Amino acid sequence: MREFPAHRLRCLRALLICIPLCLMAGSARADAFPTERPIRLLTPYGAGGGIDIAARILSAVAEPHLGTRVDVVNMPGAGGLNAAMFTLDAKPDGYTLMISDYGPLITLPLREDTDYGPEDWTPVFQITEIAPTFVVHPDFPEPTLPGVMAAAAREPGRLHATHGAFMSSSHLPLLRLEQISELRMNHVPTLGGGETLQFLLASIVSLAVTNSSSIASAVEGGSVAPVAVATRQRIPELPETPTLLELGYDVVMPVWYTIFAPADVPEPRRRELAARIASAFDTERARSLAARASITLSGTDYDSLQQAYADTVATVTATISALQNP
Amino acid sequence: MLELLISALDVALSPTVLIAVLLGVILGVTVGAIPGISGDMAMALMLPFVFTMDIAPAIGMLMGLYKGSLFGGSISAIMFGVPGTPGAAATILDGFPLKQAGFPNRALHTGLYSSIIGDFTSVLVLIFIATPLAVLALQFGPREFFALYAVSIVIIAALDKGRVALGFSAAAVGILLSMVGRDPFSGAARYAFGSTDLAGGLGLVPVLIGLFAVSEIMLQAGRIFRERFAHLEAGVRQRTAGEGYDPDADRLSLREYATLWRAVVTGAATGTFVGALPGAGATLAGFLSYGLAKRVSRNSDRFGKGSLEGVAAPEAGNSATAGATLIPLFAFGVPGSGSAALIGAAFIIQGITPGPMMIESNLTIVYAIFILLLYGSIFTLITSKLLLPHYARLSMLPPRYILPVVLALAILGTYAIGNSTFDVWVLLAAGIVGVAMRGVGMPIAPVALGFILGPGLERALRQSLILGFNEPGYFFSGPIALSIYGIAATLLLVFVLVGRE
Repeated sequence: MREFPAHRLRCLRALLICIPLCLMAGSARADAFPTERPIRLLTPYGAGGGIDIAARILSAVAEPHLGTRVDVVNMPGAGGLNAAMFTLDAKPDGYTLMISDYGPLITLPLREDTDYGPEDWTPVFQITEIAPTFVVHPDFPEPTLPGVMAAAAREPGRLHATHGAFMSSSHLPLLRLEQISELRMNHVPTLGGGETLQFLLASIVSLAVTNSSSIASAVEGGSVAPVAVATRQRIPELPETPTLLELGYDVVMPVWYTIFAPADVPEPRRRELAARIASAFDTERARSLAARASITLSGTDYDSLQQAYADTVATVTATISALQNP
Repeated sequence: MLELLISALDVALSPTVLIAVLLGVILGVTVGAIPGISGDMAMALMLPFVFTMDIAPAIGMLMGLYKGSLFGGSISAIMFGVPGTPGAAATILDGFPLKQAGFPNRALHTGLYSSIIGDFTSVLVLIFIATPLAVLALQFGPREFFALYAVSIVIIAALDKGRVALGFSAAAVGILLSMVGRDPFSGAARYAFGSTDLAGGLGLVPVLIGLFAVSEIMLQAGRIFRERFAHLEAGVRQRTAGEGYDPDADRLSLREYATLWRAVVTGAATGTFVGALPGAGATLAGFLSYGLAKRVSRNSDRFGKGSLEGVAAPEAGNSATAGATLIPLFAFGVPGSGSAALIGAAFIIQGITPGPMMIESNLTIVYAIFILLLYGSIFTLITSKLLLPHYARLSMLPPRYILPVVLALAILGTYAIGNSTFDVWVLLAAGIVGVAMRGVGMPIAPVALGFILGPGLERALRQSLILGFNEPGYFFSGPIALSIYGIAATLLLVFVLVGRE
């Protein structure tokens, strides 16, 4: 076991990155890509979260397939802005990538004055897709989505719904559902998964929107009842739970953990990376690491991934602009 | 049942698990003692390594780390007046005066024994009465938390007789500082004046270390220079604090420690309860234990001037969160603190989802964790017993050697956390604010408390306002919230009446 204090670890990592960088400078040839030096994979949040774990899995299985190491660099702060700016400021040679959900790439630039927009990124490989799930307490009179919508319609603006942070990937599907149905609920922001679950278990709120993984144990134990998921298809973990699309609401806002390259990285390099990362994940070891961490690996190919990203950009843009110009 | 216990013991006492827990404890005490690196940060850094380990050593190492850091934070609090972890901020109030009076060893040992007792108590509570306590803790919604936070701030701000107004102003300054940065509910920048650095908020570590430590260093450095100057002028050699330290007078007998039982029991009970509440944590436990212990103490006028009880209560309190913070996680799968969330992440990495189902489907592992939590406390005791006399001697080195090292560590530690020079400026500015506050006789603890509790207080207040549709009556509509206000009012009334005599 090696353990270092934060600053040591960072120095060591910087050294490990710098030495080969200096040696290799100027000798880059396209045909050798991506084997010339280690790839830096930035995460917009701290160690230990779902994105970090997904990145560590790639790091653990990458080398034989990419021909080089993948170093995970956690760069939390400013809602992901720090990591995004670092990635975009690096040389666009495909050796600096970012793994992220859509918040820092789409929501943040749409809401704030950033130096980049969603179009400055291209998805390379999607590791997993997570379903924002609408859940109620099992004692809710009619524990189905139509039941919730009927209750919301009876008392507009009075039904408590909790959703993690303001404008997070759990909040946006709720906002979208309201915009489409023209119903209003009373939104209670929380710190995220743990607090959201507590509010629901204690019946402080009637409806919660959260990631399917954070309620898995509670669903299994019967202490919360899922009523809908905001993905295009039903998810394997909750086969009985309908999608919002089936229920007649066009709310498809899955959360994904995807590896991105800046848009100015040449397309052949992006495709090369996509193919090699895909083969790294198509291994027994990757599957067993992912299974242990309860991560369902996606099998999206490069071209449909571009479409999925464009769809998310369109939906998030529509949701946010409807809020800003009601 | 017996079979289950034997297989759990088999897991918990295997060499890898024993070594993992011991390593975790040693590492925890060490990082806890280093200002700026908290147990949570060390646990987050460990997660990638834990990824490749088995479940029992993985959880053992993380829990050892957490327990060790809860005590380790008190080492630098007592030795240098710097909270090694935010949870140890309350320990400074009496620990540092004790060291200044030449009794670092007594203070450190009081802290150690109290930590162990608090920790052990809360693990026993976790094992035997977790479920009923968790049911109560789950009912703590925003309304109840607002009551608890508000009452805690009132109790701490009114600690010093005759300086209540200053105490409240200090708490208000702390809350105001905590509001710099992004509005948690809308994302809008507050008090940022167009600066992106300020929009990111003030860091907990630079503010705490700046207020407590850098201000102390600035004052001491000033004093040393003055003494130097006087010595040159008058040709008189000044005694440094290092001379005249008598290690024999600085021993703590168990009999003497036993007289502190009121403070220890108050701390252990308060810490266990606060630890079980989702979202409260070690810092609130430390401060609240200190405030309550002062109320029940026979020698409450000694508090703040170097009282052993004033070390025992917060240390028992903050360490008593170690077992208790797992209660909501095990009972409902609700991680009640940053540390519990990291432990929960470690479980998930290992393929076990924490929650009620875990107790049904992985009973051996749960029992093994209970066992390693118990012996983890003993490891903390033994490791720290061996280290403390050396720490005590180290702390009595002349300040002119210690101060530059502490200041350098404070700056380095602050910079390392976020790679941000802005944080270093915040640290130094907080130091100057601390000097000014000491100058006008404003107590520093309420500022720290206000700053630490501010975000939680604000969240609880605004969530309550949303849930109550802006009706003030909502705050007084629940039985738990009403009881908290009732207990606080009784305490204050008793305090005022006793104070009158």
